[in-house]
Amino acid sequence: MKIHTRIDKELVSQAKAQDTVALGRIYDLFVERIYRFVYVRVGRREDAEDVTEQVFVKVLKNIGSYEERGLPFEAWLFRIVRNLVTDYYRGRRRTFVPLDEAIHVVDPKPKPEEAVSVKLQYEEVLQQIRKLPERYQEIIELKFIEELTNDEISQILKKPVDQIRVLQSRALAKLKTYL
Amino acid sequence: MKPTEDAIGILAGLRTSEALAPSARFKKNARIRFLNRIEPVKGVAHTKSMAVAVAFRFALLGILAVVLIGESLVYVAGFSAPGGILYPVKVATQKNIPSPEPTVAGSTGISPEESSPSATPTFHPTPVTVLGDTVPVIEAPAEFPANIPLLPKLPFP
Repeated sequence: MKIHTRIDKELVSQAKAQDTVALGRIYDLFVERIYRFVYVRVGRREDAEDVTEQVFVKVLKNIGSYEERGLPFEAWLFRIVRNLVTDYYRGRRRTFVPLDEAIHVVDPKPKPEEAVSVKLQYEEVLQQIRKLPERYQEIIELKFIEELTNDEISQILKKPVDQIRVLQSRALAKLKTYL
Repeated sequence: MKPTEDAIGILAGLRTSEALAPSARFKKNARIRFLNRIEPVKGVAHTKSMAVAVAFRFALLGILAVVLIGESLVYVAGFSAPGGILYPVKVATQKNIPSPEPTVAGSTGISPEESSPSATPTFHPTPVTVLGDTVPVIEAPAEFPANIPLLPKLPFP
């Protein structure tokens, strides 16, 4: 099932005028996706929350200057997210989150045994994704988790679509060797 | 090694996994903080009134320009000769100038006979009394002497 959040121009223009309702709507539409993208990359819930908040602060600051001009709002937003994740790694040395800690963070509540099994599988996948080079992580996330199209990913990463396809297949192949 | 389809399926499952979802508390609090940061943008919020103000200024400037150009045109047209480009303007504007009714006597006290072109103007010198003595009025010469020097002779060359 596609989870694309199609956002109409009217909503964006209202948000550009700092309309509270429109900005609140944009927050509701994107907060989970942004958090998920960030969390997969940073691996710590607290950091993911900080970066997610920073994303919306930056959106608020820069939305007035947003012009579509071939760049959809969603792609513009994910560029911000991507830049802030990069800033996060620049400002803080990347640390490895042990698997048991990660499980504790993401699964605080007791679950049925089968659900825990699935969770462990997800956590294992996440750990393997985080071992990938950064460019592969981005591709894996944007393509297979967020289900963005190659055109959208091309706009976010500012790379040709052909290169995106190549990166996808390489990233997936690399991930398979870890799983 | 798992098949590619499995890997893609697991990745897709991550999307709906609660493990990757933000907590409800964070979502709520971050939303409040986000909306509290919103400030009205002057340049955007008042776009309509600003547009009206700008339009009004342009309208004023336009009116001023039309008036200045019109006045200048009329002024320049005043010097134009028949056949000139601006001569019609001159005629049109001069027609609009109200001219007084051509009265024969007017307020000058000249009789209609005197004001007629055929009448010869006459001069009636009146003696003037100065300190009790009557001073005759010297009549001006009929024609001004042609050889009268304009400047007096100076004592040096």
